[in-house]
Amino acid sequence: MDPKLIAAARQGDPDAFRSLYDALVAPVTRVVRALVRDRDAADDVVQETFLSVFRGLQGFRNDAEVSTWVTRIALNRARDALRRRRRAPRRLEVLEQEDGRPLDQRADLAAPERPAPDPWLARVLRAEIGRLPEEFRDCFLLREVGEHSYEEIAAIMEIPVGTVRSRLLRARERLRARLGSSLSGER
Amino acid sequence: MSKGSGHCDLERLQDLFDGRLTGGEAAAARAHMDGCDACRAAFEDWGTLRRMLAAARGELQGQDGTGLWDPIAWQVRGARRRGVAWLRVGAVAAGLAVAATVWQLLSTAPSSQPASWDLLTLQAPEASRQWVAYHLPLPEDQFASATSQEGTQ
Repeated sequence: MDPKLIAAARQGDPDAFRSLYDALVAPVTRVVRALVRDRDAADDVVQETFLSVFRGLQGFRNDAEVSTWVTRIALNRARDALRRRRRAPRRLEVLEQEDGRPLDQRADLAAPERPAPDPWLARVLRAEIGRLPEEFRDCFLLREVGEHSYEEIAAIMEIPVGTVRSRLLRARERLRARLGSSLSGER
Repeated sequence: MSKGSGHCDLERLQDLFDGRLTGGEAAAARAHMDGCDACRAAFEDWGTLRRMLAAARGELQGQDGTGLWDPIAWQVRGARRRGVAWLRVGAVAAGLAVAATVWQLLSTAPSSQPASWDLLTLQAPEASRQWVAYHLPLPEDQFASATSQEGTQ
């Protein structure tokens, strides 16, 4: 990111801030939507993120990559949104049931009237990602949806690279365990 | 791909999956995977997860955030307007402070100063006559006629 652009945005130049926004909004939106899953709530998070960025630019330290800093803010906002949603009354959704059984053993999901495998499994996958512990889920989505490197994830989440590696593995293995043979059917 | 007592090293396998191994390391990891069903299954499942998420990512690629900009722009421009307004208020306040300081300096100046001090305190026309008398001494009669003409204009 051009330091002059960041400096101008820091001075309150709306055009510079718009350029900053244009450069970062797509990857940030992808990660936030994957995390929050509700499109309207995700859009709110993206807007809150960039307003926070605008307000916080004065205090932004150049020793951090601006995209890392913005993604960190987005991640924290998305977590807040998920916590708020968890406190709110939950919608009835079959795929959100938490009965502890692997999905391929659940009769309701194995019913013949279920949708075609691809969209169905994608939906199940998203639900299962949502059930991962926060720290595993965030690592996994930053890697697979945000396409961030281990080093970038480490900077965003402020954890060592080794921790990113182990969290990613645990997220992947939990998803494998939950999705069971449904995954091998997709190979 | 072995770790310690011959167990499969999934972290190493994951390094291979995420392209974090160099040529020789990657070749060794692949060689192990070729003979290990468990590692191969894990590797293929991770690939399936990645493909499925890539599809979801594809859906989101078109999201350029344009529609999200307007409410942000409104606040950004509002903040700038507020900033400019505060600058103006600050400038006016600074001007008033300077004026007050000058006024105070002048009002506390010794009364024996030349008439020019009085001029600055706007005590004309008497002060102006004194100033002229001090700086441009003229014969008394000329001075009187000059100031009386000035007063009638």
